[in-house]
Amino acid sequence: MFNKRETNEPESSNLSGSDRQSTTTHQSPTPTRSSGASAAATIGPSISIDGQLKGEEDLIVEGRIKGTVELKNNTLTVGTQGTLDAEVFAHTILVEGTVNGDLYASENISIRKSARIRGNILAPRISLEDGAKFRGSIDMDADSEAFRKAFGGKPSAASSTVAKPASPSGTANGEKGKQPQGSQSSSGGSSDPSTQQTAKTGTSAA
Amino acid sequence: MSHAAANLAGQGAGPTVEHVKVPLLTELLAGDSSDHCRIWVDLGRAQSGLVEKLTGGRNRLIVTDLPGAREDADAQWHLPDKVLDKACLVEPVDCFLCWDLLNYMSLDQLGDLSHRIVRRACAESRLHALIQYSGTSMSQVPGRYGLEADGQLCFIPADAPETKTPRYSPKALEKAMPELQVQRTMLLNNGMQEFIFGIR
Repeated sequence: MFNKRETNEPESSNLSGSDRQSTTTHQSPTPTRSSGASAAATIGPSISIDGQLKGEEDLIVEGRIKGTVELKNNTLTVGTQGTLDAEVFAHTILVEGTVNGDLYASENISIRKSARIRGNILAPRISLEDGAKFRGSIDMDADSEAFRKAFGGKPSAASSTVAKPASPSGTANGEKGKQPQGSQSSSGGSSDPSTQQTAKTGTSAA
Repeated sequence: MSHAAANLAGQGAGPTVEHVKVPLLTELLAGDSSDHCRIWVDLGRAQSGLVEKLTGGRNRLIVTDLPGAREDADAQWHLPDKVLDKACLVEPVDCFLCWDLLNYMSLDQLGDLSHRIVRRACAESRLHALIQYSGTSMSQVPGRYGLEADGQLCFIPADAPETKTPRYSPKALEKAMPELQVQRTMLLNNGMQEFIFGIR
């Protein structure tokens, strides 16, 4: 089940997690933006999800996800036990486990040496440790069509120093309509449910 | 030991580390003044040094990891088609990086590879390779390469029995890969020869 993990602080007693539901409804007081010090939801090793997962908080995956993951303002960590057969959109992505699918980050993707990735990755900043198994494409061009499709023609501050923002009119508007709600709010207390699991989501013990 | 070498040595390879200057590769990586996104195809394993080098510019790097395919006992290990097809390439590839992998291919495999490469290339495309020139033996499996911050190449041979090197000559390579032509070569201080191929 989902639970909460304090990255740098002692875990809060009321978030220990055994009674958490598969759809987390916890609301963060402030949106988390890859600070590394905020609470992160965790999908444990026995959890398997098939469907679309959206959220407004950081997430650590040690289980399996098949489908789509959208955390456009937050950090996704694929732990050493985590396996994703999914397309992922996030602010920051850290991979220590296995991913079969494409990864899109508006800020940064870090691939650790334990990672196993087959797919294409796109971010303005990418780091990879020697020893990581990777087959696919690494796109560092924040001005690319794929980046505009993924993030609505709004490259992050980091990427704007790399390439000029050149979004054809119409394309950007058209893509904005496809953005999850979270992608529109960058600061200040969103009231959206923090993590939602939609579509044909099924949660089961592996 | 440099940072790249330490990282590579930590992957279980043998302790012998070679550092070599690769002037032709350095020129390729220095880039051009145009504003277009450069497309690189790395036929070897993913490595931190190359990613760091290309990050910050308008680059797309496609890693095919042919040594990994070879370990998987794939009879078609020398063909990067699966990865390149999934990369949805629209623009032609600017540079193909072969490292020392051509030494591990037969003449027929070299022909197959060049045929596949030329389909993704344009007149300005370049292919970089390192060929065993003076050495008579090499590890049976490809080692690991890593670009270092100072532009040198760090090489750690695989911890495996040795085999005879094919010692392909420029003419033999051009005969095996008729769509490619040798543009420049340079003998390196580790006994390998650095090649830049162009498209005929």
